[in-house]
Amino acid sequence: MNPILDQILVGAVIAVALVYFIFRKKKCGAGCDCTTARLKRNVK
Amino acid sequence: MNVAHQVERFRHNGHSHSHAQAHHSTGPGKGHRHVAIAGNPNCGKSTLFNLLTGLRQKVGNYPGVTVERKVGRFYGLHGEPMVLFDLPGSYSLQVRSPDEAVSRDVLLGREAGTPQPDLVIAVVDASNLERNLYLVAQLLDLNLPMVVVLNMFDMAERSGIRLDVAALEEELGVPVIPVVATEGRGIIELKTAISKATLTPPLKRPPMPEAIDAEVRTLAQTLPLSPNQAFSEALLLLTLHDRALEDLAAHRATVVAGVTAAQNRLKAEGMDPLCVLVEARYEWINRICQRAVVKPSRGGSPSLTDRLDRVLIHRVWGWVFFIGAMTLMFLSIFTLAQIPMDWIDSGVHALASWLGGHLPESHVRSLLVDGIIPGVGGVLIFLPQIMILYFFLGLLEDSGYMARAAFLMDRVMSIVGLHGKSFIPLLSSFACAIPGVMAARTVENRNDRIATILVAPLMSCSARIPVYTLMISVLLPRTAPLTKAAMMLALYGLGVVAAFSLAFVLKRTFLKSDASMLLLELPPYRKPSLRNVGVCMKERAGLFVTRAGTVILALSVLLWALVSFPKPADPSVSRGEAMAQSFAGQMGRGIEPIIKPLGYDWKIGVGLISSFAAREVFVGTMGIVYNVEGDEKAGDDATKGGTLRDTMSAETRPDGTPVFTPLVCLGLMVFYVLAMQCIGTLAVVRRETNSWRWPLIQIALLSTLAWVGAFAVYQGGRLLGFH
Repeated sequence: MNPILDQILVGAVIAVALVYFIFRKKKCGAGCDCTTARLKRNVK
Repeated sequence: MNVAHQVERFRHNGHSHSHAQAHHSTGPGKGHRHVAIAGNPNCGKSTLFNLLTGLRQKVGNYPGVTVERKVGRFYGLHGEPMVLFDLPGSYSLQVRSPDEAVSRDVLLGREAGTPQPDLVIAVVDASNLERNLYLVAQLLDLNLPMVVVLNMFDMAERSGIRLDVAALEEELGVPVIPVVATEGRGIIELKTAISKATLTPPLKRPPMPEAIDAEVRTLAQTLPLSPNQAFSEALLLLTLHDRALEDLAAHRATVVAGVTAAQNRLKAEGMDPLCVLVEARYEWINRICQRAVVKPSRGGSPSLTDRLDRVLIHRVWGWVFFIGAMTLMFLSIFTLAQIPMDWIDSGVHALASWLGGHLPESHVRSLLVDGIIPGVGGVLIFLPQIMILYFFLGLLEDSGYMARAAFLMDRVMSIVGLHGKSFIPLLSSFACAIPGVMAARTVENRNDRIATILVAPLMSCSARIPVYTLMISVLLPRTAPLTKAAMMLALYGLGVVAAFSLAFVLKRTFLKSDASMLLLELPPYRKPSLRNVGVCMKERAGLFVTRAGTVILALSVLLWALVSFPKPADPSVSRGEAMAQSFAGQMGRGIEPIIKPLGYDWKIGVGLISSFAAREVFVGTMGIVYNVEGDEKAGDDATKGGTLRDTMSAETRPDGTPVFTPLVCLGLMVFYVLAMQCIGTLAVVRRETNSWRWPLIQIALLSTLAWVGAFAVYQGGRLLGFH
């Protein structure tokens, strides 16, 4: 593989992963169905 | 909170709050009839909702499954479109917790962006008419068109209860439809009843003392609402207690003045509005039940539920069954899951080998073969175990056993000073601490709530399963599944014991509060519905796979970058040395002084750091760390034939001694049971407690506990001569 193309591809994947990880919408996590989150907004 | 909402209602005079629109799954449509399903907890509202709308809302045979109103659409018998609201279960409109407030607010038309329902379907459990009719009495006072659904009619008949439906209809003044929602029986009759254009508000209202009726009507005239809403609001306001009124007074002085004056006038006549209303309603209920309900004579044989409960909530046999059921669950996780896990493992290895053989030597190849595949595949392999866990939990939930488990645990919880209501938050934390922490808001006392939040992360969440399973298989590679299951059960038990012990200390030091009583309804046992269990398994599997394909994938890429860069200046250095010089190596070495007393090397340190994003990433990190290094140790592709467990078992220190000794494995497991390695939970604790104080105390407390626990296991074990 062309070394420059190799570096560009890997750099782009790392950049996308980093941006996703930092700016992803923080959800409640593995077991959350988010109804409790909505409940909280509702009763505020 | 409830009062604040009430105030908001008066300020806006029934108009929407802007913030609530966004989370309607289906917005209320124009020209649709709005129908609300209301009733006591665990009377089958969500089952009826699913039946009418064709949706698959979570249902369970224990109270409190629905904590938010759910929205769906359906069509009446003549094709007329309707919007259906499934409301959280409530015993009364005089609410005590936020989920009950949701029901009250929708029914009274206070809910943001949602008009008051055009029709109410009051679902009652046909076997428990006396208790269910109290809410029906309050719903009749709303003066909205209403249909009463006698759900679980078959169970009532089976237990020998005879209901005179015609007499009930006559007494209540609204249509009464017997239904068996789980089987769809009575649904046509229900649709016919709610599709009738002639459906009117109730022909009768529960009797109310004249003095109270007069005060309610006078008060209603002062409220800027429609006559129906004003009457219902005035009735609720009149029964508010002093403290709620004080809170309300700060915002709406004139209303409060009116309420207080009315209450004082009634008190002068020797009447407490709430007590008098409750008494009048129960007299009405008794009269109806005497006419419409024939119960079996007490001399009959006890019901199946009673006979099962003699064992399942027995103070000895109850615990024997509980521990037996848990052992069976964990045993299945280790035996049944093994075959599909092997398939996934083989697939992951085959993919890595195929890519390794076909791609030229490059960064892209290394990213795929050493980073993404072991990182994501290493986590994905645990999918069968997650599904089996939720299959068993689904069975226990749907059968009605969970309420019994709550009953058993309440005895222990009262000993440590936790409120019985803390059980559901702690139970939720076995799936994930985040909904657990949020569910703690139903605990009324502040100190009880904070204590529950602080100990919730000690319950072993599903993200810990991959870590536990990996470490158990490294510690006990060739042991019988029963031993592994016992080990897993012990780890879960350790979390529970640690949570209760910490709560015990907290409740006797700086979170003291008075003990309060728990009222718990034990629902009848029902045959679990495989459909409901399947829905639960599918949901959890979907969440797990989505996480593996998003957060874990992104983290695998980043971790690979951290272990692969910067490249060493001297290309001839070994790959192990190159990794030691990488960013990850530097991070691991940075925390080495802290983790060395626990027997960990810097590579485990990298795993610990990465686990803060998500605990299961530890497994992926180990896969990446040992894959990158293993390429060199055993020749390219060679390590990909062996499992991560074998690679970790074979890992040695520079002096040739194994890294993962039994004490290190045990210490690591104890560390993962006790540590709070979850950024998401920290953020939610901050939101729930509205300060950084508690999350910071929590992370400091649990991290110290985890370190001390792992230290005690490793150093204590060495002192005793183990290795």
